Amino acid sequence: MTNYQRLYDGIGRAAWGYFFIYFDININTVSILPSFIGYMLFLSAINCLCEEERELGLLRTLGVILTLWHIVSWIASWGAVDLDGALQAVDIIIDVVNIYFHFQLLTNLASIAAKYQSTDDGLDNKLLRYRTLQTVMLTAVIIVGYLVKWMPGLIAGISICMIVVYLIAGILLMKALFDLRRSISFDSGSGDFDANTEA
Amino acid sequence: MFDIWGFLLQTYTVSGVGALILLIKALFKDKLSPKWQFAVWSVLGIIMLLPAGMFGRYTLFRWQIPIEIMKSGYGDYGFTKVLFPFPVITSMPRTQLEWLYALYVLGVLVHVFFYGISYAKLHRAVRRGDEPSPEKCACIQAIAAAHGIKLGRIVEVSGLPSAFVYGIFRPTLVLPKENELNEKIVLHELFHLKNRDTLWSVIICFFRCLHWCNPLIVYCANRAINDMESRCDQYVLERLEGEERREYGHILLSMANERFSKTPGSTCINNGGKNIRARIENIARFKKYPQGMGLVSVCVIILIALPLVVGVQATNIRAFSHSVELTLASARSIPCTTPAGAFDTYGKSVLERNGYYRAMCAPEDMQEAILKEMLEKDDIGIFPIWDPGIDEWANKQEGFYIYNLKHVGDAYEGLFVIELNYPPSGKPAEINMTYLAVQNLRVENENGRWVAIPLEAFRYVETLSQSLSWGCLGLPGITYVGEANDWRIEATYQTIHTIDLRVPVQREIVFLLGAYSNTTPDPNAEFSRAARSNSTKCVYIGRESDKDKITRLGLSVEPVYEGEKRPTDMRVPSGDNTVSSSNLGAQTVSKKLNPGWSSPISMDGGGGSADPNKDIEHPAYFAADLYINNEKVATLDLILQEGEAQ
Repeated sequence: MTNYQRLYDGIGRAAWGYFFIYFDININTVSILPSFIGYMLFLSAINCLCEEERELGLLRTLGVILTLWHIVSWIASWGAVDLDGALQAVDIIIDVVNIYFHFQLLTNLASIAAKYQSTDDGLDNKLLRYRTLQTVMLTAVIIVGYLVKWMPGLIAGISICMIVVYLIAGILLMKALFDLRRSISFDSGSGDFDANTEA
Repeated sequence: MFDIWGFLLQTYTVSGVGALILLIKALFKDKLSPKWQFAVWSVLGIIMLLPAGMFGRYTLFRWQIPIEIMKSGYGDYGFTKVLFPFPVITSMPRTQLEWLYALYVLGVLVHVFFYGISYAKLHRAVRRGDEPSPEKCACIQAIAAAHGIKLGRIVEVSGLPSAFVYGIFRPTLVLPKENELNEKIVLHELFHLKNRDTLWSVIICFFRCLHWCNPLIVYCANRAINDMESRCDQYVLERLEGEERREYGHILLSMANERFSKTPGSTCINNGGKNIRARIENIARFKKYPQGMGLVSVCVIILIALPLVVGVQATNIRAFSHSVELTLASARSIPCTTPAGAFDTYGKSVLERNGYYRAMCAPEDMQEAILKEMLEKDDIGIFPIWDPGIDEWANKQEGFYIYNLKHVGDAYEGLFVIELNYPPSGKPAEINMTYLAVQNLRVENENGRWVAIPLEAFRYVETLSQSLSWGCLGLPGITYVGEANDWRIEATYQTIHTIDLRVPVQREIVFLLGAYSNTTPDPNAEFSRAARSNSTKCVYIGRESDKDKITRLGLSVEPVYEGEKRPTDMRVPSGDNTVSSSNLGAQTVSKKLNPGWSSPISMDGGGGSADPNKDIEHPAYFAADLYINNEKVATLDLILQEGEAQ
């Protein structure tokens, strides 16, 4: 039987997780919206949702790796140390783990949306589109980072466009997730959850 | 690879990438498809084809450091470079290390030979094969047609443990004569046919031969072959249902004979007990991957391949506080990739008196002397300071200048100029005087990296204080001379190249806006600025008694380059003590001469900017108009004097 409260919590945590990933406000070099909180929220969301989507359980190891990495990076930023680029092997591992983690997470969230959204929401398709866009954008951002040395002028212009697209995609993604959470209505009086549309 | 060091650099680099791929594969073993698991080996293949350390870049780790340390242990201070990722012997081995390298090359040849024999045996067996019965052929053709696979030749050979595909250009499906036709095995082999896996097996075998003495690479090659089989297992399983999948697993389990499994140009479903076990585990994990997995699979491979191919430019010396040898090895492992990079590194070694920086840009035959000097000074127990041969410390904020840079064959030569903080040799400082240390310096390419070779010891120059970036009267230049009407006109032409050393102060510290000089070498630097400057003077060579008749002297000068016409509309000097100049080097000067004037008379100068990273063309001659007492008395050419600026 579906535990709607866990479903509701899980989707909400994933949505807030993306808030911490997409938005970065710094005081000097230290972020006040650290990414590791986002990854902790994702891990918590995975725990809530893995009964619904068993494949989400496969993401735990990757989630732990990303959380640890972002904790270490954040602590290092207190000393104005930027760990990005410090060790090429670690950078590569983090990049590929990151891209796969979000791809699989959004694929599974889309699968959940397909089951629980209102019939005319189309949230599953939206989430799949944002997933694809995010995967392409993340890859492009990293590629541009490597090419910047050879084409600094051109890349600077492209980078600004990419950041704008990336942020818009992030906002739309969060909105879709919050919409999905809203689809699973909560009757606070009884403490029971009901899906607007039962799968 | 021309020597054992080149091979070590190549095989270490490839090993690092192999280990990284194994780690990433372990992370994604239950997440990405067997197709990806095989495709990711292409990254290792690409790295194997690229010479390690190409363009002064390294992949994952700076393997050059341990190699340089080992090399220096054998008295070899040359820069390790891999031109080709394949072994080449250029001369008869003489030393122990050359014999060791020859042994490695022999190992490659022995492996190629044995794989060749294995292929020949298989070829002979296939040639002896018969065409299968029409029923079998029809059955195989039906399977191939159902999956859109183009079939080639089919033969039956007796004594084979199982079916396989053989041949690179015309792949042949080879079936065991005695066995019943198993559709699942045939389908597996047909997918090998479709994916041209026989070609992949040859490529993998080739790399295995190249790195035969590296167990990690041999292991990676075996894993790649197994992943190739797993990929075909996946294709088959995607087309089977429930019980049939279990049956397929049973078929694999029943196979333990791995004959021909490593023969190049063939694929064999039964590749040994251990490998079969891994494949059964894959089958147990089998799932149909959701749509869109292809995108993330490709993205992951791009994100692994791109950074590894691009590599990391080595710029900073890794300092080992306890060891001069290690730090010097680290320095030698960073090649200067541009001529300006060598000038920059040399300049900063002088500014900082840093022997490690000097080792970065020193030619091979100077390395041992630098090591000895640094070791001697290290014994004193303080940070070893390298002596560039100057009494006084240089002005780090001022940096350095390269005067009169010229292209000499494949090398560059110029006058290296630094400003000293105090006069040399304990002399008292004078007001408005600048003290310089100068040295003719040559930068040339040695075994793929740019090295700086001083052509003389430093010498000192005292000159009036002025901005060195726009030329200096106290420093030599190229001289052009012409004579007319009792006057000799001399134009001194200089070029000045600089590299921007300024580092802006962080904006957060608003009250400290500005810049400081970065004295860390940039071995990949480019010149940031070039200027040309010409100054003229007039020397009176007439009779002393005629001097007083001259009260005004005027000169209009303009550089003329090869192929240009002599200018006809040069400006006329006018007024008392006026100077005008253009950024193309033209200048017009008028001087009022007081009674009893003395010769020579400085007529000031002109100049402008030039493209810093192109050879600067020197004027063929200077066109000049001479005016005495406001009358044009001569039109003359200032001709280039023989001999170079020193």
